[in-house]
Amino acid sequence: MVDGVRLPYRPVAIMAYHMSQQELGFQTVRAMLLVMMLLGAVGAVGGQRLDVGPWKVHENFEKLEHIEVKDPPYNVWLKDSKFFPINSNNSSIVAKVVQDPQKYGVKQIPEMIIVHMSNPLVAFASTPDLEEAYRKFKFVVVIDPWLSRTADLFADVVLPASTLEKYEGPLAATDQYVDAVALRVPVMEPLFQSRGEIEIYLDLCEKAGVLYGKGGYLDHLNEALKLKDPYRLPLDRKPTVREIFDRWAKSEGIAEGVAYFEKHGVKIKGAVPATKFYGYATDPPFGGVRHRLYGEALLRYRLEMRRRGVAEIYWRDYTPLPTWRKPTMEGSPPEYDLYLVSFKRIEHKQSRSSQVPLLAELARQAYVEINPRTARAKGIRDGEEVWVESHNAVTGETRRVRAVARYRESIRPDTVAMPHHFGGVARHPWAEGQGPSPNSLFFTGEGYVANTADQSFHVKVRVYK
Amino acid sequence: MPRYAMVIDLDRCMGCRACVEACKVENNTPTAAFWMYVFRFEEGEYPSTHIWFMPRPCMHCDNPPCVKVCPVGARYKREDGLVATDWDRCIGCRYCEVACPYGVNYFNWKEPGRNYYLDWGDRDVRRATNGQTPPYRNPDLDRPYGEERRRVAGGGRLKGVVEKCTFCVQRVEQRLQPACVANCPTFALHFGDLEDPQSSVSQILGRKHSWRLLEELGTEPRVYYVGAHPPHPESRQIEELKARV
Repeated sequence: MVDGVRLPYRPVAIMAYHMSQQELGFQTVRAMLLVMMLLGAVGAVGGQRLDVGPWKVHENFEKLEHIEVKDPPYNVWLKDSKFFPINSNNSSIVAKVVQDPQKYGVKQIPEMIIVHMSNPLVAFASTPDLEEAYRKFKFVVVIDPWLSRTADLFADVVLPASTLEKYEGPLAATDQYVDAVALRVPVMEPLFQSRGEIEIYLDLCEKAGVLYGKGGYLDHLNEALKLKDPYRLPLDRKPTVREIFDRWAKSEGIAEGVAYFEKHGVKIKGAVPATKFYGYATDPPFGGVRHRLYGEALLRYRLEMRRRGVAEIYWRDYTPLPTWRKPTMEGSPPEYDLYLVSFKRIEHKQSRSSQVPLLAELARQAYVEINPRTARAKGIRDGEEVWVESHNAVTGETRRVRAVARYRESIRPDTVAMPHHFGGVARHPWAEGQGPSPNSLFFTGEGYVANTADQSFHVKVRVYK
Repeated sequence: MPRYAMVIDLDRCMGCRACVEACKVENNTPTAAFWMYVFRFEEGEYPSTHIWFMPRPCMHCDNPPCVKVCPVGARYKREDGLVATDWDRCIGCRYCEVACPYGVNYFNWKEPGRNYYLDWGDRDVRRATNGQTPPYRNPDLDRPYGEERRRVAGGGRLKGVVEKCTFCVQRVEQRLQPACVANCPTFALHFGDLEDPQSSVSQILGRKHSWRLLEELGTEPRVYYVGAHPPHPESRQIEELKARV
């Protein structure tokens, strides 16, 4: 019984993390959901919780149903293209396209880029492809609290951003049982010359002449924050960031405005009703919406891509039901006998923190975890420096880095793992000599999917002295 | 008089080392000094392996070997149970470091200004900060504490003295929890008065089996562990913390 409603109990759990961002990932996630559907565990107590309530046909269903594979020229992330019709701006694909736009039927590539609170050169795979792509941009602006490697190598302008000393949000703060919303509020003035990003964008837009009036940044803010009258931002006056969030809070019915969050931090909205997560709590169940088992649209895209003559490597995974095949990395020669996994350490935030002295002291260096039995068979001692060399099964390219081997019994004997956080992330004395990022070993492009900033597992490597 | 103790629930600890950082920030300790240290242990062989975590502050022993060997009375046991170090008196002989079986003492090898996380005197840093140094030092650390009114709080004072966990005396005397306890996201750390039956430490010790580190040595630690087991020779330390060279 939940909220007085009797619901089916279907305890089914499948564990996956960052799966959809790997090769074959979206079909693997579909397969997981199909199992849930067949067991009646979607929207049941103990089963798959989907945060879609109130139950209705999801907007992505309509979007995916009606994608049309178009003729070139395509945009830089190949949306609606014959190569990747379903696409949501994958930075690694963009890096490949920027290097060779003609190959992908792209006529125009951007001349300038604003990098927002990110360090793509280290954060994403593959590092060499991203570096090559950044060389093509004529003007690079980086908004960042630190002089990241991306900023250091390519920025024409660095706009120093504050870290926590700013208003930011609204942020969902639900624990899935109680609904809540939070605002980040500054605990002190921004340090040195830094400023909050919203303040930076207000100034940039004003200078560029796109702040005021219909269609300007302020107009977009009104829509994005869903501000209602009389709290909508006037389109002819630059507000402070605090005022923007004050209007948002009042528009949400919080009479004290932003002052409420400055005092309490989090606004508790109340218990999440059973109907939000449990499809069986509505009458009819799931609001009458039926689950889709057979992906007919995927079959249609597959046929259209084939008709347009692209190579099989692009369309082979567009199948109406999930299918399995050997991942591309399995085509590497047998001497590449180990899977490489990247992983996060609890001390760091992706490639954003290894130069922070207190954290760098806790987790200070890249290494490669290897099972002792595997290591001993290769004559590698604990703490010894080794080469880790990856292989691209499509192009034959190899890449290698030097890292310290660390024995771990808890890692599979056929797998090695490297933390994701290092690789000279910033120009800072604490970031010097920390060793490489696994992203310099990963590949992107045909056969290799790398749409994740970490937790990637899509190349085979060999480890040797 | 309270009888302070710490209880560490190893079934709840996830090894995040937030307590390590909270301690460093609260007590202003230099680099490579971990008054609170969290061990990460791995046991077993693949595929039957187990990783577990063990925070290790000063044990604030009731029979403290470090106090016995201190030739100048700088290390002493307070009535409330805290083992304190008067850094005005410490002569840096390091006998306490040798006597302690828990490895909780840290010797200041460098001048404090040269052993912190950012060199505020660095030319590039001074350019970025317009020559300013933010007020980062906790003024509570400069005051005398206890009935003895001795300066025992905080770290990184002088080159050539030994320092260690104080159970955050500057917070405890304000009826606050030690920084490591206050910042533990999983409520694995508890601190309180063993004389108070309602304190969390008394409550936990009353209902759970507990053990203490190297209990056989007779040091009578004031830090109690619940859950897991004492580390043994098969417990391999992984991801250890070391000085940056």
